[in-house]
Amino acid sequence: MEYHFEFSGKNIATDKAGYLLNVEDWQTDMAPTLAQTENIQLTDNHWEVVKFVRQFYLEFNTSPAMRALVKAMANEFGPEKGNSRYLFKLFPKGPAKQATKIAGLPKPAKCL
Amino acid sequence: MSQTNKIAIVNKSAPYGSSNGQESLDMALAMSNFAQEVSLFFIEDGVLQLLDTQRPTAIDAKAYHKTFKALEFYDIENIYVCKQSLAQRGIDSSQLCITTTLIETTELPELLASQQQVMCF
Amino acid sequence: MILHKVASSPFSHRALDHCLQRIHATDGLLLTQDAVYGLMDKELSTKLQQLEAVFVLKEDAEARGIEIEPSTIQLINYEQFVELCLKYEKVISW
Repeated sequence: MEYHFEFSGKNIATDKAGYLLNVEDWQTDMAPTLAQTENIQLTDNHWEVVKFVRQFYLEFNTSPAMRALVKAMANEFGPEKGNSRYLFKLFPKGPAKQATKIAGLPKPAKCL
Repeated sequence: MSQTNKIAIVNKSAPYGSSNGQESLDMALAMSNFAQEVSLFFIEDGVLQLLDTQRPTAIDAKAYHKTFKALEFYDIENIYVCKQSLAQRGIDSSQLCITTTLIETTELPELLASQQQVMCF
Repeated sequence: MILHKVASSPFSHRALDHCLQRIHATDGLLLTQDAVYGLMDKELSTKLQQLEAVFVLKEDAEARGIEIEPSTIQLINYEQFVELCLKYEKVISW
């Protein structure tokens, strides 16, 4: 079974859970569409996290899991944004899971 | 897993001849999510995984060595590299992609003895 | 004329050593995959310089971050790899 959706006339392949299969397929305009599938309206604070996880992936070649996301966010933006309460307010169903999906990244590996 | 264990992951394989290196790293990242205290050891051909100038996209392999730089965000801070293994391969520690603790071959047994679990890749 | 192909790391396996003990002066030696790490070993490198024809698969060296100084060792791509296999009468994979 293959999964995909249409975006600007292009066919975008995803996995079963809606994560893009190819990181390069993502573009900024696509984020609101992906966010909608998670019932999220992107605010500036959302964008900040989405862009941050995207940058994290491009630099380290891995999607950050929750602990790493919190620590890296604290490192970059300070403790008021680098904590799980703040992140869960923005992404109620799991910040690492939802932000990486909206940023067009693979789902962070958590369980073996 | 509620209690914290001290777990050692020993890497002795070169990066692309097998998937050992990638699997070992995935394991380390996953375990740190469960608040385990993970220490990484690089010995023999395992030290080759840390070379900074690798460009594995040339053989369509994933550049997972970039992920070593993110280990600090996973609270993995004990990273040990065997001095003799580096010397044997003509590698200076400045050629590695992350800062590590250099150890003698003879220091390894003692360090492993203090761990609860050891996994070898 | 035989082309000897080695793919394993000389630090962990004996294949390259076994090959070097039995290679004829006019034979060719091709290092691929983890065997390219052999160039990091000074002693081994010196031994290789004494052979007539040593080839290294460029992509494999580049992927592993091995720099090859200009010498008698020839860097080849996949196409040249195929040509080599045809040029030599026989190929031994160690």
